[in-house]
Amino acid sequence: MTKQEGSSQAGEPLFPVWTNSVFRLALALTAAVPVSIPAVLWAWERTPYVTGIGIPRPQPVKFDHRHHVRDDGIDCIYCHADVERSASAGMPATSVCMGCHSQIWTESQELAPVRQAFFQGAPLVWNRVTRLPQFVFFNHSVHVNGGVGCVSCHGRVDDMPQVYAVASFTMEFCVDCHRAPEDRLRPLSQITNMTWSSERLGPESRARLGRELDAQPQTDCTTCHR
Amino acid sequence: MPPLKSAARDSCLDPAVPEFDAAQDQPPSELSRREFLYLSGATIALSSQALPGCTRAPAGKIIPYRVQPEVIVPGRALHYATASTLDGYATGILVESHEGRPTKIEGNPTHPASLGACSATEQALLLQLYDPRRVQTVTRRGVPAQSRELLRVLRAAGDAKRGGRGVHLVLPPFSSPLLGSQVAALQSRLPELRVHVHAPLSRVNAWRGSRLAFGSVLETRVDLRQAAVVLAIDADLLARGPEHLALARAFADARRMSSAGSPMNRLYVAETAMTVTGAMADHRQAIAPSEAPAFAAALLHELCSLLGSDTAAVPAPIRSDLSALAGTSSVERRFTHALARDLAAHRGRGAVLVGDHLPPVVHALAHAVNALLANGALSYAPSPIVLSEADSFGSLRELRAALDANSVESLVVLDADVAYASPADLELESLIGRAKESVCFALFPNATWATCNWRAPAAHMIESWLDTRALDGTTSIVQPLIAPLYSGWTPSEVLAALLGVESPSAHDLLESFWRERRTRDFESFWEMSLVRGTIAGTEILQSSRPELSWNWRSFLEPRARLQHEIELNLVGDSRIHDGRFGNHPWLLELPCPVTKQTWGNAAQVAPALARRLNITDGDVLELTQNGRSIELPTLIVPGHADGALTIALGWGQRDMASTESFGASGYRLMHSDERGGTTVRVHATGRREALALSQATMQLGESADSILLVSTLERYKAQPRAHQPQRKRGLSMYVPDAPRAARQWGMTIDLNACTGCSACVIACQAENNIPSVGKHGVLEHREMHWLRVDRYLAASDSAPRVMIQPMTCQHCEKAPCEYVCPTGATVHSSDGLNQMVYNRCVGTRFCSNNCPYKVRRFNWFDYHRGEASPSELGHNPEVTVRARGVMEKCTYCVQRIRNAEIRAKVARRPLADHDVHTACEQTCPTRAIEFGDVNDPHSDVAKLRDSDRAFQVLPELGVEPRTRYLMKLTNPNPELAK
Repeated sequence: MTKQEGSSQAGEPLFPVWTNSVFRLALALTAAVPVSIPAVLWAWERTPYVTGIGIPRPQPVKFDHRHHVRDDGIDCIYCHADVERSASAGMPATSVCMGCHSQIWTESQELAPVRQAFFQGAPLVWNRVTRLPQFVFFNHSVHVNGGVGCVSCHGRVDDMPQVYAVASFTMEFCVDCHRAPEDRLRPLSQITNMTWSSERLGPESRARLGRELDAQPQTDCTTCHR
Repeated sequence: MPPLKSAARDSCLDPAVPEFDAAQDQPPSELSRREFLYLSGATIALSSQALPGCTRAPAGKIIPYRVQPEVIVPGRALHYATASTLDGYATGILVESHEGRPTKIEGNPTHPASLGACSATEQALLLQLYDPRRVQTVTRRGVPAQSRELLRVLRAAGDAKRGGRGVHLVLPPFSSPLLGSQVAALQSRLPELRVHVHAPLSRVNAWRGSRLAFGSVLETRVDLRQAAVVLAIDADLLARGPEHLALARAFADARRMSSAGSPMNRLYVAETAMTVTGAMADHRQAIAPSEAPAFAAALLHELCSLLGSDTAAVPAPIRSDLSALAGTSSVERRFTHALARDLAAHRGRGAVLVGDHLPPVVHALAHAVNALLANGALSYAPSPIVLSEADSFGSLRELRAALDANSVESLVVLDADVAYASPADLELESLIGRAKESVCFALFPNATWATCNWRAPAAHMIESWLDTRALDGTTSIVQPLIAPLYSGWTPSEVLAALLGVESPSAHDLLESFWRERRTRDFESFWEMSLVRGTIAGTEILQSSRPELSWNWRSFLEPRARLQHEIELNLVGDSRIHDGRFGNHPWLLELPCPVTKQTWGNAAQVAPALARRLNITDGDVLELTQNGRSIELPTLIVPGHADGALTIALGWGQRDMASTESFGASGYRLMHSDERGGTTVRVHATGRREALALSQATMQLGESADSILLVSTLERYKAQPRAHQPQRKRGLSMYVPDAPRAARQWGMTIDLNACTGCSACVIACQAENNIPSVGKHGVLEHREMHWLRVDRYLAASDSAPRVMIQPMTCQHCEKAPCEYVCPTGATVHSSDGLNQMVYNRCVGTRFCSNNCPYKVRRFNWFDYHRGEASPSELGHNPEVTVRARGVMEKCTYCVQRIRNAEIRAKVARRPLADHDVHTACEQTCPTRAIEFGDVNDPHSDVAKLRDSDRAFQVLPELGVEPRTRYLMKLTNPNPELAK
């Protein structure tokens, strides 16, 4: 601030000196707003709070994938039976649960909601973990029949006591793979294998696998948006 | 007088006419600057709340089945075969269902009246199912009542002790064997029961005509593939009637012209109003309704003299009567003579067909012509309609008399709007109240519903178990795809209640009826019938060529010519039929194939009559007949018969559409004695009304050849490639093509096969979740149809040549829309589709301005947001529902392409030709549309693209459209061409 001319006490500043620093800081902050707000938003929408990555969703039944997949060795497709033939992977009907649990753990308190759903007809209402926007038309069958394993998008579900999302499913996530699918492909026999890794294959076998599976994913807009 | 909106449509042509009212140039005055700032501040505050990514995505729920049904795979559609019935005749359909939710109606390829095609009305049944305006509850005198009580009322009316005295039953015409047996059982149980058939557009005149000619009621069936020369006398055989889908297919097959050497049939049409069939005619003659008998007589008279001794069977007195009647024909002798010579030259390979509404004698004359020429394309068989002897209006007159005499104890009306859709002189609307107990089962709150004291919901076709028969007798089981949304009653349940059944169930009634008839291996019979949609072996056998009788001389009396008077021609509407679809948004907004009018009817007149009366389009006329009058705007239709005025029936219903009524009811001018031949008094009121036309410019003018090509068969055969423009590519300012995928999608539309019936428009609307915009929206040019059917006229006003051209996104290889989009919302795919990415679109509408074909549509409003439940259930889950501010257009049904590709990939097989059908292609009755991979030289579409007749629209622009058209050919009689 310049000195105030013609005041009663000439030579004394009207504002203390430190206000200059405040003013400069305010100027810098104002200039930073157009940059910082988008930056904050950019960072915000990538936090787990928004994407849900790594945050287990509570479910009406404490279904433990670790136990069913790893200990019991049940294949993914046993319960998610539509995954090979439909856009939707399919959630098991209550009757599928009861197929085993009418024989074992029939008295378990944990399974009371399942028995109630089956015998009283009140359906189980699960909380969705993996969510795509409604303008995206994703099809499970073409992916699992094209050499993309469950683990590629859903992560090590066999390690999850309660399932959480492992990827944000932004368009970038999908398009990365559609542009260069070779490294993510696996033989059709290993689709549901949670531990198989394409690193076992050399670059040549990967290329051969890509040819065998006829992997030609499209990146046209209408592949996913209709 | 303020400028008319329809006049404003021509504003691009006439700079003197402003496109918008002056007021529209001003900003809205109510909003002050300060208010504007308030609102914009609030908008910013609110929108920041809703910024995507700032909030956590709402957690969705997944609700699995308790026990998943074996056939249902969530995410995969199922198709069920059933049948829809119109005026008693069935058309086989397939209904698509997503997890138990019907979403689309398609034709059943195994059904003889469908052959895989579907008309607009059948497809529109889907939206009707979910219409929230449907009747939902049982009421008695306006007070909600129990179904049990209604059941008691019905059983009391059907009490055998009363013998049916004073009990009247009103039904639409039906062919159902189950209903037939129930009605027969009712009649024997209640000897005094009166059954009335309500059919405003009945075929009673055709049946009477066959009784005159053959002595019994026979249906005429025709195989147009065998006919080289066809004459239609006021018969819209390609777009109306019980078998029109199959007839249109056969007609187009006989004109397909796959090579220059193929044969092609010739169609003559003599009719009053311009129809779809008339627009396809090689020769069209406009005749007033009263002139039809004289014209038919003149034709037979000519044939008698041409065929000489072969017509010895015609008795002499008939000959002299014919000659007298023929003398009164106003049709040029030259036309009749040339037509007779053509028919005689193609003996055995002709067909003369007559419109249902024409007097019986015209039908008898046509039967005589066909018999004399031994035309093999025609065959005769008994009607599948039960009670086909009943005369609809005659039986309604009986009802009126009974109501008048206060002798009606119980009136039961089943799905028939007698109060509205009946001749005004019967005054049923005011008389129904005289019945002591009246029960109405209706889908919608219509005029009859409003006058009855018991009102109950009827079950929709998609909710019903029933059976029904096609014209040839093929029987289909009607199966439901969804439990009745509002506990509606099927006709069989109502009749069963009258028969005293405790708690009737439509399924049990139907199953036990057929179980009695198919005792052996019933389960597999039932399963097969449901799967196929038809019951094998139920066709009605053709009668051996029936003996022609000639004792109808008394009908041949010449009628006094109606000089200086205007004849009234009341016809069924091509979209809403007799009014039963009078509140259906899809059908109300579907432009009439001929006049292109939406949301209303009009008084259609010929240009010459309009000049004489000094009226023009939009002038409101007062039309009076027998002291009753209605007001309708004028619509001038070139090619309309002079001296007649046509009104489409079914409009102007107050009660069905709760908001507004459109047009005026022609039933007000109808008389129960005779449907045609009456006159009407016309008085111009001096007022004007805007006509919601979807297309105003009908003339092609200078640029005709670059829009569509028409030639004659003769010229085409002489020089098949004469019309082909120089095939060199014009200079283009656009960049060269990007690298491409192996498959390249493309379409061809055969203008020689397309009749303009507009079934494709509704197929597109149903498949792609396209909203209706309302009458106001059409007046503002805001139609949303991705596919429109353009109609152009050439030649004179009295004998116009009509050209039809379905127009949709052409998927230009060098698409002008793509170059101007600032956000990259419309881009090309590697397989040649012009893609529209809704999420990127900000609504600049540059693309629409730059589109030479004007096929892009803009969402001015959130049309879908206001939808009342349960309408949204009918949406196709494979297609995005667009919001406001987004451009949209034909995608070549990309969801079907991608799903077909996925199915092929999963099955590990290559995609075959015809694995992908677009919705319009699938439903087209004439298979005019072909879709496929143009890079595959063996695909049908690639062959058609290379055919002699293929052309591009606006080739001079060099945009290389992927949709190609095939040139229209006409086959004029050389004798008349001079």
